[in-house]
Amino acid sequence: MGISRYALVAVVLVAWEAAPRLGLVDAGFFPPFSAVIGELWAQGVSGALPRNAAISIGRAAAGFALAVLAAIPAGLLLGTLPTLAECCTPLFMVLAAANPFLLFHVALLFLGIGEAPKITMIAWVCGWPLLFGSMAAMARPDAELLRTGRAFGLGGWALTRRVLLPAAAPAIATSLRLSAGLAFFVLIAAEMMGASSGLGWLVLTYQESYHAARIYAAAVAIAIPGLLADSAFEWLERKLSPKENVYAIE
Amino acid sequence: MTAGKLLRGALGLGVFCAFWEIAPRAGWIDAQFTPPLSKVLRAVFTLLADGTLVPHLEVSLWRAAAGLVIAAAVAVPAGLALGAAGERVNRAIEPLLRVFGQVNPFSLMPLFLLFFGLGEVAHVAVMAWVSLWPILRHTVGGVRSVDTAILRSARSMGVRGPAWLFGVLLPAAAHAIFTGVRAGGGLLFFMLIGAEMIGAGAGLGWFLHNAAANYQITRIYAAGLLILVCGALLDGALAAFERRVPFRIGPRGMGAAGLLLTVIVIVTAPAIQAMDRANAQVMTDHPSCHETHNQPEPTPDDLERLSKEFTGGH
Repeated sequence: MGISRYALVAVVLVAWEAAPRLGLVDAGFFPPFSAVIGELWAQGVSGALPRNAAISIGRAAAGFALAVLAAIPAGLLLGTLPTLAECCTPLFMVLAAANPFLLFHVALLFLGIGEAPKITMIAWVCGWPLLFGSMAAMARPDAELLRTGRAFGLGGWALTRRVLLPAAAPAIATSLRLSAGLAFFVLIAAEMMGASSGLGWLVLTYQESYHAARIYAAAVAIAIPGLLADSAFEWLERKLSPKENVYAIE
Repeated sequence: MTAGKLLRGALGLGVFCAFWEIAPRAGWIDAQFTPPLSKVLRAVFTLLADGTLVPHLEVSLWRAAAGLVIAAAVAVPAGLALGAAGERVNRAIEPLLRVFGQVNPFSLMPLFLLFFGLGEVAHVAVMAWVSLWPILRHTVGGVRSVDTAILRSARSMGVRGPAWLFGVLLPAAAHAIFTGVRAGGGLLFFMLIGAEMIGAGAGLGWFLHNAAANYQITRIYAAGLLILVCGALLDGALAAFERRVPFRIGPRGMGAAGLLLTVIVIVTAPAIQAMDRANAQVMTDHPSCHETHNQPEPTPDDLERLSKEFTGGH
């Protein structure tokens, strides 16, 4: 564990630094790691990177929050109503398979150019895994937990709040992690398609000026929020998993 | 039970379709922005029948197939090797895989354009990158969860080399590998449409983007519906493979793996040529697609909306 885990990452970074410097690859296409970091620093200090990163993160967070607020309650509710869930599931599966980029164009028709179509698209992409995840977690509770809860005299709302919801929490955290990953993937594309701000737009402007080191710097900058969100939700997932989570049955 | 479930599912879909048909006709939603379902379906058939959509469909499917096959060709052997390499190698490689998996494919597109130039290779490379990571993750996981009893008995029977790899390890991990291929394929198709919208001269995504740029609203929905169907068919095909994995553990598994490999090579070898042909066809069909706005005059509603957009709603 510890340092040795990241040894390989270090090896890759050293190789990235050495290969262009030794002339093994063309430095014009593949600048050394230090040049990329230098560019990352320069763009960070000039304010271009933080400004656009803040805009992108704001969009992703808004869409994600919208999805959480809409999809998790809906999923939890549908999980407890099996007949309605059976009616809706095939339709939802078709809608979930609908490509977010085609939705983007339809949202553009209804909501006009601006922030709303991008945020709608992110909410749409994030919403389906959350809906299916919370629905499945609620619809198939652990029979033993249920019996234990009932044996302790819990029923109705108390059973839901103290047994079913905590038991569903880890599965919901897993779907949160999945959604958060998708949110950033899709946002960058949306910003490349039609925006005048954000990290996706920034990459495109760097591409137009053929500045390789800046493109790499922007790619690194885009990967960082994704990695952080992934780590945060992984932590949440572990925190909520049965081993560490004491069910609130007293 | 299953029949009832099917019926209820069909009911849900039917209600949605009926709403789509009735709402624009009854004026509940603006028919200008949401044409009724029947009109969209008619547009799909017309566009397919007169051949407008065929080269786009062809080029998108080729890109998806080529990207997925290249990703599998890299990720499955690498995953098998990593999975079999033991605990320490896996622990060392895990953070690296995670970082690479988080690298956004769209931020790589400019880089792939630098390396491969404008054209199909850059597109296919991005698609391969997208689907590489799920396949690799699932393959490593699949190999690591193979029943050790199978591996031990194979070893005690003296199975080694390619027979061990294709006859034992690959079939035993095949289910997980196909789960990964399905996940990668889904993500790939998802991203393909986006990539075609950003920078391509053909493909379903480009067609939809072009229709949107020209305000051909029925075409937007028609292309969208077709993309939906293609995505569902791709997922269905990969899911069928996942359910009925064509490999069995044993000498016959080796034959099946070899056969599948040969078929894949034969199928993808002409992919690039086919893509070039389809691209050329699109170019001759529409010499300058983005400039031709051969659509009916905008209605007063359109004009009002456009002027609102330009003045920011005032």
